[in-house]
Amino acid sequence: MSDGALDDLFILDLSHGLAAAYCTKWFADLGANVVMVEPADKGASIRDIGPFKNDEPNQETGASHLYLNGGKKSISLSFKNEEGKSLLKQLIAKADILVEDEAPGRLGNLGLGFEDLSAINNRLIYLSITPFGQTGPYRDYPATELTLAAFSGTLAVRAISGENPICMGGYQGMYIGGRIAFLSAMGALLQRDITEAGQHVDVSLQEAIAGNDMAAPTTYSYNGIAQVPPPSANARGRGGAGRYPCKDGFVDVLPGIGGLKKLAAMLGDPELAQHELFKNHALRAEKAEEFDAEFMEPFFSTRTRAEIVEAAQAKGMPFSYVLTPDELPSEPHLVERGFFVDIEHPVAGKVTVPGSPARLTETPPKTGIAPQAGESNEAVLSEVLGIDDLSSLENQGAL
Amino acid sequence: MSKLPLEGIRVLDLTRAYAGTIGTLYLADLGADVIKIEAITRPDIPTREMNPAEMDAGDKPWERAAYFHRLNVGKRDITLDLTTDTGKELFRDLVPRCDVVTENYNPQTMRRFNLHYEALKELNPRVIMASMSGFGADGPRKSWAAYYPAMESMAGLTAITGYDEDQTLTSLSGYGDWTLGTVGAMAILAALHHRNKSGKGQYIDVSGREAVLAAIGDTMADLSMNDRVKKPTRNLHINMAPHDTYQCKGDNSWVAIAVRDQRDWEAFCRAIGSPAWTGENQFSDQEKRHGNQEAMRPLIEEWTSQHTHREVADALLAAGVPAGPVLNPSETLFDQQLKARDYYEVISHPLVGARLFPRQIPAHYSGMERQSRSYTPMLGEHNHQVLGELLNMDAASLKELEDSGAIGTEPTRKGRRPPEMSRDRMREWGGKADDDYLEKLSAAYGKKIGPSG
Repeated sequence: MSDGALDDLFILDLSHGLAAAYCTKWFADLGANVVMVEPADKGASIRDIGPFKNDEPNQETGASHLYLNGGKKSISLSFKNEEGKSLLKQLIAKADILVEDEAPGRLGNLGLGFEDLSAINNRLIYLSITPFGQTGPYRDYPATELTLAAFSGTLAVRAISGENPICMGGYQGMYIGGRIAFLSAMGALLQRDITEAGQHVDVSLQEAIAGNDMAAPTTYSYNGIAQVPPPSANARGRGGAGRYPCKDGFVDVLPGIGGLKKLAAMLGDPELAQHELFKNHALRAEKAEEFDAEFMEPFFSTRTRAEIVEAAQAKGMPFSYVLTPDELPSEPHLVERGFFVDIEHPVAGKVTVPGSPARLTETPPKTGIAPQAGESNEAVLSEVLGIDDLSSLENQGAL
Repeated sequence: MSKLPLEGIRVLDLTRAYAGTIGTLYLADLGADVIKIEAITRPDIPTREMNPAEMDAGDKPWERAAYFHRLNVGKRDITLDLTTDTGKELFRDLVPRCDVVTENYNPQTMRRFNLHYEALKELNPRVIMASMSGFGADGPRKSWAAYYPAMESMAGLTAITGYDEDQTLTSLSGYGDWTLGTVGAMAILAALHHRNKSGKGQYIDVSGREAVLAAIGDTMADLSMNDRVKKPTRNLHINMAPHDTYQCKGDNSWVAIAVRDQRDWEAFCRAIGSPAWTGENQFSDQEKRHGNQEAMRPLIEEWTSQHTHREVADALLAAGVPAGPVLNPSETLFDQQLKARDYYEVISHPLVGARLFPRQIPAHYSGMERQSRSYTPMLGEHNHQVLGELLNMDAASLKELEDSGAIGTEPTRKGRRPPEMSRDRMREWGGKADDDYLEKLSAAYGKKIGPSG
């Protein structure tokens, strides 16, 4: 019986940031044995990212830590200390993948670079995740979610006319980076299934995010059109697209291909499709206020999201609710699919988090509990290295 | 240097439009033989006609589109019509010769074709089948249509993105589609590794909305622990300040700045010449700056508006403060970091010439040489090659299929061309459009970009 598609893998996660944590969460959900290797004195810095339970800073209750480190183990190990470093190398000798997100060259300076470690374990896949990659003029520069969105070309398009560009909510760039890092590591792993050799995998977050691009740079090379928010880009619904308010919230309105005829029918009068404001896109954009007041508002202001979306979907238009986060756990479709998972964390208590979005039917992913710092020292060292007495290592300050 | 990791893996790819085709794009980049299947009665339109080269529809308008080329580069293309018995039969013959089947139809469609997983498994027990849909293969809303805004809005992302609760934004960059396709590829790679160990294939069901929702796990954990419902708050960060986009010199030009802590703040003040306002008490620590962000905007813009976004970002980065020019997607083609890492690949297509494509798996591997991808296939371009190689069909039987209209290289039904967006029209709308794009790109990439000859 399989414990997951990747249950044969042993992964050492030396990382601190969200992108790497999301990458290794995928491995953990798919059954790999993922061990966070955290600095003995302060823990991985992902633990310092809020919000925390009751807004009281606590390294065990950060929302990102609880979600992204679910299903992993944690050992606290000081590799500034020679004993600690030697212990880490013993673990590396057994590992399939090492994940790190330090500034380029930093682990190399500690004798823990790819060359150093592949000498110990030539099957090791060494995954480095940094803002700009290990090479190039910007490799040493700092970056955050917001500045990487800027550098990737994906932030510029998210604005309404004349206003400043707005980053997507949460940490979508870091999550993109985690996904691309996972795919990149899996590429190396599938190659190793054939060649038996490990390698260094250098992932740049800027590049990962730039690849989620709506084809815009390629389009420029085809016709010189540079995607910027067109003046018609809207937040509130306008001219038949965007977020329209209704009786109980907002509906995302998108008529789709050939959708204006369907929209006319939904609004109750198929004849409207012949109206010049329905037929002529440019005119509708120009007279959006008139169009909204005459056709959209009377329909929307008297109906609920359910009524509008059901009516639109029945006609094949991809309308949707704009659901707020609190509405998600009880949304009937997600409930029926059993998407959310309740975890019982020893410090944070019951926490409801998203389950895995990848339903592998033979090897279903699992959602686990985030470890407390260093809680797996004994278990991991005993299981992996057969060391049962930790007291001398603790005395030496390695753990 | 070894072969690519997915060499020898064959994918029968029924995906169309956006999300699903993204999923198989990753597989192609890792070396898989992705065989895209279209029907000449229903080719992959409208993406096949969106944004044609030089805005010129040409003789074959379905072979010139930037969108289609971007999403299908490196694949092969055959035409089979699964609504016909012949199409179904040929498809069933191909299944035992492939490793992966991908599709992004409405969840009922494959069952209607009698090509659902249970049926395919009979033909090939090792097959991995991945369905990529908006809402997943089961549940009361499985049949709902979803483009990327629906996947984002039903996942709570729209409600936490924007200026305020009345002014929310979708990604406007196809994020829902990208997330669905990417998660589909991730699941397929995991299933391939599992098959290497166990010999077993499996069925994979991915929902785009769930894929996006899994990326706001921190928001959901916060809701669960603290009953807090996250709201759209522009670019306000939980503790960094200033943390926003600011107007620069030039038309619609912005820079992103993120001051993480007091050390960043001090470096930021020095980099902008320590104007008097930076010494004011209301900005003296991170908490006060966080509360007074809007008061800082005009003061910061006094400086940023005198410089280009590049100048501002480079000055701050050199001082160790995270900053980034808000690059227009087209500006990324000229970004020196991406250039230095050879991020965009020049690929030549027989009809439109050399153009630029991002690498879908951009990682640099120490043990794998980068290989150039083949150009985006034309409709039915590989009919003879694939059906000949895999099904041993001879020229006579292929001709028969062609004569009967079962396969072909031209759509029988032309697409309804989307409204034409010319460069002039784009400029009228206040957008950007260059007439000299081919010259600029040719200079930047040191080779002729654009139509050959």
